[in-house]
Amino acid sequence: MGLSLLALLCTAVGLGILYHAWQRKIRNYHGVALCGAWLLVALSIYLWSVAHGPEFGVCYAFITLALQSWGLIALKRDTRIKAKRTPQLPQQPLAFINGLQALPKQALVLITAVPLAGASAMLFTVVTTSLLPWQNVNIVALGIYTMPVIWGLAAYWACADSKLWRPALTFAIIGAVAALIIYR
Amino acid sequence: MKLSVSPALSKRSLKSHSWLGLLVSVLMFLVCFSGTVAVFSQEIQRWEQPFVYESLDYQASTIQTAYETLLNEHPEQLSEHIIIRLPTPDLPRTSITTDHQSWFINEDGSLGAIKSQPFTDFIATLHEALHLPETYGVLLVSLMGALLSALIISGVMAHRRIFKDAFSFRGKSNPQARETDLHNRLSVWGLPFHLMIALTGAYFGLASYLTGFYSDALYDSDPMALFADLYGDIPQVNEQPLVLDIPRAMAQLKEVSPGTQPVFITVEEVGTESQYMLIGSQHMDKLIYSEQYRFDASGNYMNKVGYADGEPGQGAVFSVYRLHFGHFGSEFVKVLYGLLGLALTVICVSGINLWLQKRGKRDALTNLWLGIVWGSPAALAVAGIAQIGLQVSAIPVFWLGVLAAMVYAQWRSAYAQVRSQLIGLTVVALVSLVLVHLLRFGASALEPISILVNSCLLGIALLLIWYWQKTSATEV
Repeated sequence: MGLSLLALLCTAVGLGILYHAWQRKIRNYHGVALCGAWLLVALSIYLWSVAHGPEFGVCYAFITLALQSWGLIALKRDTRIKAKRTPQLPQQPLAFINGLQALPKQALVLITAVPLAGASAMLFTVVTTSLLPWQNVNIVALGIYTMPVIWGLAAYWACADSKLWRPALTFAIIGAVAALIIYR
Repeated sequence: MKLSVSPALSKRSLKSHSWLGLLVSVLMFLVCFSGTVAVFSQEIQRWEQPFVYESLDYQASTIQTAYETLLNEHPEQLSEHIIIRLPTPDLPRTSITTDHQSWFINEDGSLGAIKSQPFTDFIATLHEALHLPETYGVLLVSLMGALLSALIISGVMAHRRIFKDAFSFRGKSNPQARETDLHNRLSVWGLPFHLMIALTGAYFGLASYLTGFYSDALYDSDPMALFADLYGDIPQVNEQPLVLDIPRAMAQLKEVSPGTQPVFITVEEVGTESQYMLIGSQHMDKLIYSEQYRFDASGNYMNKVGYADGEPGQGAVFSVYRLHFGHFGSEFVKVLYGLLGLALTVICVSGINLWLQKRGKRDALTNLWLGIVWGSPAALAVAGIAQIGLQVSAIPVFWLGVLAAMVYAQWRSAYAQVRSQLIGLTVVALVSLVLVHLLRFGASALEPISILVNSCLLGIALLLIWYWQKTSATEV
């Protein structure tokens, strides 16, 4: 209980320093203050881990970091009234025809970002993680946890690039090479 | 040193973020909203059948009696598996389940009420599969997990002032600035939690595809070898007695694994000479759902799978469930998960609201989105009334309710009024749900768990009234 309270305190102080540093309220030793703040946050993770074991401790640390920071934001919110009444935006009919015209291009983005990026991410994950000198079961577990991130990166690129053929071609090549390696 | 992305990259990232957000908008909202409710599935389950005997104390002989009663009195209900759920602090009920039927176990070991939790199942299946056929639904929901990680990445890359604005919230500013701050502040500080939800959520439907590739790459296309590595191989026993000795197995468990909390017993190959038992027992310092201890039918300990102290990969995979739903630690963790789940739902809603506002107009999309966002809580409460009060399936009531809210929002095309009306409807439906529960269950509705859940429902209704008053004052 004592360690948990100390961890909460470390997070609170760390967040307080971050708030002041990022709001430019600390002018001297700005970098030192930032480092100290993050160290306190890291210390809170350690304290949670000592109190509840590393598995629960890390969970508690991240949960309380989010909730404490939201609490600080609520406390420090800007309450100056800038807009008393919100005007209604003008009502317009749905631009259905424009939407239909854009559909083929959007469908291509969808195909690239979801099935193509997904298949490529899975195959890429399997091939790269299999290179690790680990037990198979650990490789599979690592793949299960990293594949969604790799897919996420790929989907992000597919939607961000102005030339869709670049991510599409890259995913197709990566997927084909990885499949060749697996099924050769 | 300045850590910031270039304006051009930020702009492209924002485009990507918007596109992905719009793609998943409705489904992501429904998954996040139902997930927030599903965190409390055990409490809802108890509230739904409040008359069931509850106790954390039980005798192994009682479990044996219930098992033998099932064998002798309901042989037609037997299946390949029998699952006995043991009481735990968050669900202090004992039940015995075959593939066809499930009963609660009374204090004396007799079979009690049939386990029936359609409203809890409705919430669970909405979250797991959006009430679609399981194969497609689970895949679609897991896809939301992968795309949530894409949204997190694109969101971070789009945010040029991620540190400078980390604590700013223009609470009284115009709606666009307020929604922007709400969206960004909740997203940035909740990032580790949201990423964890994305990764563990993706597991449920996508892992099978990934393990298919791993089976081809590492196990000579033998998926059973992979599953044996990951989940333990199937024990081979023969010439087993036809009636299990559960008390002996439970006594041995105490010696093999002292200080752990048994949570379930599974009987495999029921009624055959190769039947055996698995006892799942939770280790209090681990996130794994349980370690699985195997016993032969005579109750002799054979081995364990090794989730708790075997390869870390096994533990990591078997921790997914508790990590995703927050079913660990004390009940307080569930409350925190509920808050964080609500935050993710608000992020989803505020993101789409921002996109709609930035267009500088209102059209059918604005109205339909309003109907989905504020119609869903109302439809959920009305579905609860239908299920609890009238025993009418909650699934069609919910979807028809959401559809009706969308049609009504488009027909009226008056944003502020429709939102107020839908919030009002949710408040009335929540209060009605509590009254219906009290009327249906009478004295059982005064059990502590029922009082707690009903109080929470009334508390949510009060919060909605407060929110309605607060927001309606600033809108024309």
